[in-house]
Amino acid sequence: MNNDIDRVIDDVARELTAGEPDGAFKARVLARIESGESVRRNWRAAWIIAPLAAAALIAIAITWSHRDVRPKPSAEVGALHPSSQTAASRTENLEPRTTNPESRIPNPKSRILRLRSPELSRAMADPSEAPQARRRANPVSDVAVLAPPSLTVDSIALAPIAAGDSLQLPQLDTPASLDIAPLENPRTENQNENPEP
Amino acid sequence: VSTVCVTDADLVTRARQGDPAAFGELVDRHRTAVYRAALAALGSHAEAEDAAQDAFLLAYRRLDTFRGDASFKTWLLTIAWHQAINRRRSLRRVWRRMVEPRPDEEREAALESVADAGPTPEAVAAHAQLRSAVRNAIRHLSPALRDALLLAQSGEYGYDDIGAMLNAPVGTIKWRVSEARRKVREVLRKSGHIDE
Repeated sequence: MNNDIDRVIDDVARELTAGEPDGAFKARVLARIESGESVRRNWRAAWIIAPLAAAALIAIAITWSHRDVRPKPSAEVGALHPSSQTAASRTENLEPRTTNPESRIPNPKSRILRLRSPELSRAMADPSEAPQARRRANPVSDVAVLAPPSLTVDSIALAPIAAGDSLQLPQLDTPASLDIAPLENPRTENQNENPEP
Repeated sequence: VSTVCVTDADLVTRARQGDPAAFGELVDRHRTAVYRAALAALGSHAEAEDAAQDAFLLAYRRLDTFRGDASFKTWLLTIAWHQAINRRRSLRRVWRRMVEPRPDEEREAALESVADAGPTPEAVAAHAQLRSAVRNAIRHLSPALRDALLLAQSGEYGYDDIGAMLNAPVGTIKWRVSEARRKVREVLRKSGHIDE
């Protein structure tokens, strides 16, 4: 049975490769040799490859332009996002804090000023100049341009409490002594109630 | 001048010296083998014709690199096979690469099978179905197995030639042919065309 099937398989395989070029084949080959023609390029494949290459170029261009818009990791970003702080700044945070209460209160204004360049800070004062100044200050990051103007907020540091008068409490009266009657000895009571035989 | 008794090596020498007729004789001698190798790889007569022409053109340009280590036929077939495989690898042929017979080819094959089969209509139909299933199974073999099977069955090449073309030892080629048959049988068994 297997032999019969194998014979059919071989027949079909032979059939798939049956055929030969026509009589003009040699003439065509020699004509191409005489004309100095080179091996044909596969133009049909080129029709497929060319659009794919164009699509790849467009994708690269889009990726590149998006990369330009994305802010670069800088001190600004690092300050705004504590998670991206450097190891040095993290070490700073671990240092013991001062006991001065004012030093513990963050000053938002001073923080923003620290983040921006002097040119940008000046622009904050004059909102009409802000976008241009921001671009001059940081031409790479357009995100800074989109940042809202800083709010001027008064410091919330509390003034120290003035030392007031001493709290003079009236002296309490001495309570009267409590007279308590001494308790009877319980052991003696038991002996009386349960006399031994 | 008769070239019947002239060897391939002599014709190569003359072709190198600029004798186009000598190369024409080489084309005549080996065109069928080259064409069938291309047909085995590409499955299309038009593509095979183009690939065969390209192979001869390339061989003519590279005649100086033929050292005579192998026979001219083996050397030529290796070039032809590479040309055909390069064509097969192009994106467009991925979809219609292997032996996609056109409807008239299918009909022709069916008619041939009718002539070969038994006399009863049932036997004729069964035989035609079996051949169609075998053709499909061969199409769906992996390229390595299919190439080996088709080249081995084309009747044009010895295992040495096929090994040179596919860049594999003769033992490997024989195993691939056997494995291709086994896989086709397995497909036929699963589809119910042959008994368990």
